[in-house]
Amino acid sequence: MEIDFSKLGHNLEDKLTSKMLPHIWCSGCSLGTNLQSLVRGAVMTGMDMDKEMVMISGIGCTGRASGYVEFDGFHTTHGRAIPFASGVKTGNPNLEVIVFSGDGDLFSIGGNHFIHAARRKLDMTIICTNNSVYGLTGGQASPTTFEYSTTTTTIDHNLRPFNLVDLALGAGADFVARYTSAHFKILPRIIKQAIETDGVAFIDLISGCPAIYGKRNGYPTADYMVKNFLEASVEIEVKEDGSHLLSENTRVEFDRTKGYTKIPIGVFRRQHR
Amino acid sequence: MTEHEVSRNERFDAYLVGKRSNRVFVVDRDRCKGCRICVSVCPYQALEMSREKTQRGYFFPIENGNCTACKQCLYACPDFVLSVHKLEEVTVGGETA
Ligand code: SF4
Ligand code: SF4
Ligand code: SF4
Repeated sequence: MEIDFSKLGHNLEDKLTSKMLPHIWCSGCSLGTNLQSLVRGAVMTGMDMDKEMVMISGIGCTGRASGYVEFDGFHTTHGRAIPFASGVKTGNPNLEVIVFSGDGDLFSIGGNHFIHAARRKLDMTIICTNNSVYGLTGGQASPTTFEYSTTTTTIDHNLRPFNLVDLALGAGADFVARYTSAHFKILPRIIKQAIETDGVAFIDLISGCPAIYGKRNGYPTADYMVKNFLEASVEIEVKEDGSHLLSENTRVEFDRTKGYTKIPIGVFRRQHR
Repeated sequence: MTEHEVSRNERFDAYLVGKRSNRVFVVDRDRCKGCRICVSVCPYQALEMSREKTQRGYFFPIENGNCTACKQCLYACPDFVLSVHKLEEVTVGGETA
């Protein structure tokens, strides 16, 4: 038996821009796992990634993602991934538009665009790699940085973070889910459902930045981070009175000394217009 | 064929794995950043980190003979390092073992 080494590329190699790899992300960063889950989800839909899908990313570590995959894509200016995506969708409604960006880009400078996208219900999928920090610029607090955590701009106390699931539900998104990057088993299926939703589908993808946020806030290594995500995740129980959707029941809890302590996960809303 | 067969070139480590030894577990060494996520997610404790480093200065995973080709590690790997192929699809001339 002789192995033909030219055939040993990654199982998804034809969906990746091989010449750009290895990517620039730090060792153990969740972004690579998330990107792979996205590509697996896109493959599951059976659509032609190159012809029928467009991936739009903003600024930040996540912004680089559009350059690593064979989707048509665009790396927009800071915070403007959703406006650009709205333009693409309006110009060519046959395209499936996927916005893949971070919490800083989508909810700080781009926060206004998110709520209006959810209100307008243009058909797009918004995946937020939510690692609670501005990684690329050195670790400043983002809109989802936890109350008691250390960043380069918050020594020990920070304002209350956004609960992105609550925000998306309130703004009227049509599909709202939260998982962590460690749910790579189920995520492609959820991403497929999000892409197939007519309207705004939002996934709050809890992720880790071990290099900058984790080392100061209780998950110093990537393998600890993955275990932490799985241990802290609690699948939501759907209640008839809708109480599982209350803000206090969807909030992510965090402890500076040991990482995440509670992550409510699941699909919170699944509705068709 | 030895029980735990490995083929290597300057880029890949390819291990013959699976219950029926009909799968190939591949490590694309120079993409690896040594994060150990693969080691921690493997349900069969089939991976260990190397003692030598890659050209880029990272330790990388070595398969120890327990791999069942379940693919968990490759879905978890953030750097597109790991893959599992069917043996007949990656042999020279495409013949089966
Ligand atoms: S700074 Fe953080 S988010 Fe950015 S690549 Fe590194 S680990 Fe990932
Ligand atoms: S998960 Fe990937 S990058 Fe991390 S050590 Fe394993 S093979 Fe290397
Ligand atoms: S394919 Fe499965 S058994 Fe093999 S090393 Fe990866 S996780 Fe372990």
